[in-house]
Amino acid sequence: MTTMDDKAVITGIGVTCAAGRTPDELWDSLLCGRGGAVHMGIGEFPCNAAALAECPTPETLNIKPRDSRIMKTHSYLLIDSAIKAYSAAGIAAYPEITPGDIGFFAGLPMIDYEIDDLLAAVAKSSTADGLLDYGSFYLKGYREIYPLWPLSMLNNIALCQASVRLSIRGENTVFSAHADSGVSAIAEGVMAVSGGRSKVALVGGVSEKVTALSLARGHIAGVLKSCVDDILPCRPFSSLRCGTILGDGAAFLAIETLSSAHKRGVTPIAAITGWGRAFGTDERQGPSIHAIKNSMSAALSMAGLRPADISLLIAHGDGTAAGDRREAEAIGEMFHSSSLSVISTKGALGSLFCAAAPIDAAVAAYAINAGLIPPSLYSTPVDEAVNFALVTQSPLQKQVDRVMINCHSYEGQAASLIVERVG
Amino acid sequence: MHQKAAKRVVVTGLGMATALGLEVMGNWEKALAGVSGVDRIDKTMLAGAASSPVAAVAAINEMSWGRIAEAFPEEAASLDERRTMFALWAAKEALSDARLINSDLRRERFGAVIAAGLGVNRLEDIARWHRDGKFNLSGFSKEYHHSSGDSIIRNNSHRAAAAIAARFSIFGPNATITTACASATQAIGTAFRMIQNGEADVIATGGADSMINPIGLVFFVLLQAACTGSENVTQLCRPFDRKRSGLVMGEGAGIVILEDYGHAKERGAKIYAEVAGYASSMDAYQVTAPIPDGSGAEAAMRSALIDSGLGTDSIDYINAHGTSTKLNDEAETAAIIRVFKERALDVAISSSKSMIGHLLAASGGPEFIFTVLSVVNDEIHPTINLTHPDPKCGLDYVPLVKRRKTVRAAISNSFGFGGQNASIIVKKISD
Repeated sequence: MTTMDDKAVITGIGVTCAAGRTPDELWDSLLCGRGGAVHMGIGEFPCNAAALAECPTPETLNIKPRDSRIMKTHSYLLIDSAIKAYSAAGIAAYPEITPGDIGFFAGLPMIDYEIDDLLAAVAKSSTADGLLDYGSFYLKGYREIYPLWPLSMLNNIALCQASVRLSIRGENTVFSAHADSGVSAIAEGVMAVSGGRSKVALVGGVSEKVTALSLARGHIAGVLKSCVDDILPCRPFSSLRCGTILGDGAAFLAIETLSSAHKRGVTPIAAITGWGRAFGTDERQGPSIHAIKNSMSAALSMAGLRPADISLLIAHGDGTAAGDRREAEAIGEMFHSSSLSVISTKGALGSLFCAAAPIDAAVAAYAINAGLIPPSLYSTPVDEAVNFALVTQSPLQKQVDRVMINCHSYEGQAASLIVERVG
Repeated sequence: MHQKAAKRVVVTGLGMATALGLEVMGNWEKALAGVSGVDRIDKTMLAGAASSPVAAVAAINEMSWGRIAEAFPEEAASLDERRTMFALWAAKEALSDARLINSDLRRERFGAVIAAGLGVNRLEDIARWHRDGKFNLSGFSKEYHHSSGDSIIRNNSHRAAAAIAARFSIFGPNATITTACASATQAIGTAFRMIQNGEADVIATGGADSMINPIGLVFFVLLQAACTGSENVTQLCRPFDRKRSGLVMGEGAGIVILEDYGHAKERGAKIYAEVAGYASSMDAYQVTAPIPDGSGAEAAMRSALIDSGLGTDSIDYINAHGTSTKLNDEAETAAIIRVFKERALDVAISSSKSMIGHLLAASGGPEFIFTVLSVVNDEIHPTINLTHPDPKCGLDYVPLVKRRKTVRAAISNSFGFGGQNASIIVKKISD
């Protein structure tokens, strides 16, 4: 067990998203107001834009073709960003950190099958009039499926593949499936290092792969952008918002105690001092105002802070009509008299689900160290219900000591994280 | 983060739904009696089941399903997903057992941490838009709202935890764990840490899963891990037996109420046992098989012992992962020997899966409950069908017949495909 003053600090960051493949590229893109949305060309879904990352290939990650058969985009993104965080924290240079000393905690999304993985089985199991015949499926159809395909459907497998690659054998878990899961992964890692069970923890998350199935799921949930004539991607807190867009990406943070960082001679980038998690839903598509306030309040309480102590809030702000309205109201009520600045990164990055919290934590760390707040992209004209200082159009120069990050699910889960200046 | 002394965590409620029934004590009595829940696949449940390469499963029967649907009519109509319905039932039973339904508990200090499986991949969702070997993406993108009600297109793994929280007004921390077959034990361990850390006073935790659907049935056949025998179906699941032929799939849920000890005492709750320690580990070996020497599982058990402050001489029982696969049974046995050394033969070990099948992501839920009941009642359920001991598995697996034995503390093990391991320790409550 560490001492009360021995904060958990970030000592390495690995990022891959639409705005860049390093935290520096991500930061520069956000400051310049560069968004990553592109037209997808997947069928004729009402929302056909997404913020896609330049996904690393199996070759660049030295993954054998045989192994890559059960890997998908999320696997590559996870392995890539975990390797980067591991490397940035200089873990390999410290042999006294054994594989069992390294914790590994991730938020991982829903894993959809590739239609091509099952199409031959369906074709072999279909009757002449196109109906599915399960008798045929069991007798011959299922044999068309690659025998290891089931492993590719388990979302923990990507973490396990990365553990093999990095020889990580310590405490671990996988949270699913939405943005709150990224906060939970970070919280578990902080508890593991603070409790002395891990010397270092890699914590992070990955987005859903953007596919026909994930687009269908997003539309059925009623969260994807519905105004097809608007060429801009999602517009957090704007009066013109009409839904979110999917993004893909991943981020991992290396976490350890401040005393461990000092002992190893690595520079702590920022501290993680609290989190809060809550549930509540009074209508579809996300947490209630009460739940959002509860998660923010619990995070402040754990960090021993008051609302006025927070300089910047990186909102969930996904550009959905109801979600942004509830979050705006919760923020307004909790921070009504403070000089809080608020942004959302989803205009630039899309909805990254489990990757949102670690990416926003990286942005928070950069904002603290640079004294700059990047603008919230595509948020103008700002909704008149927004009664806080939303940073739009250009970066804001401001001393940032403490940042709150909000992450929500579509099922009613709300989570908040506090990132602070070290020292 | 302001660190405080870790709080003690106790078990104050139990709820489950398995092939053995929908009541905890009914499950326990059948488990002690060595009753198998495995049966031939119900043809009314699954189209084309007569041709299935898997002949038997430990399924929740139609009568039990009817009771669950009757208890949650709105959810039955809107969710249409077996794992979530099982989760709701087990949560109701656990909350009722803990006297927490309609209680004046501070709801924002009350959480839910639930394990869930991968969900249902419906072939109908491809077949509907498939013609001549090609998928009509344009058609799907316009008609996706016709996709199957229980498919992953309409559901996500968060659904069970959210449904429980919404139904029972649980407004505190809410999380979902997905680490394959280690999920439920990891969920219980995560909840344990949350209460230790002061993030919640009470948490409903455990797991729910069902893969008794066409893709689910062939899932483990493709991986060559499923039992495909069809004779004497109640004897198909044979953990630690040299005539074993693979895992038998089960379905259901096991959910428990974990509570801060001081909170439980203050409200006069019935306390079953104390959660003494928890740990997880990774094999980092290969994602298709456990590390043969059992060192990954060994690390989980060893770290859990360290976390609990107990020595190996305090452990009287291990509820094994015991899947009835050669790879698992041998690696788990090796791990137990590595941890317990000369004491390994003194520890009673049994596999609940021999009776309730492999509940996959949920498996750690009912198995944790059986572990708690062993600690409470000083009784250990048998490993049934263990009539031809595997010479490579030479420990005391409590074959065939239950045993009375003082159980001061016990370990429940769960190991997931991919190489994630979890061990949790329960001990008798003391002031």
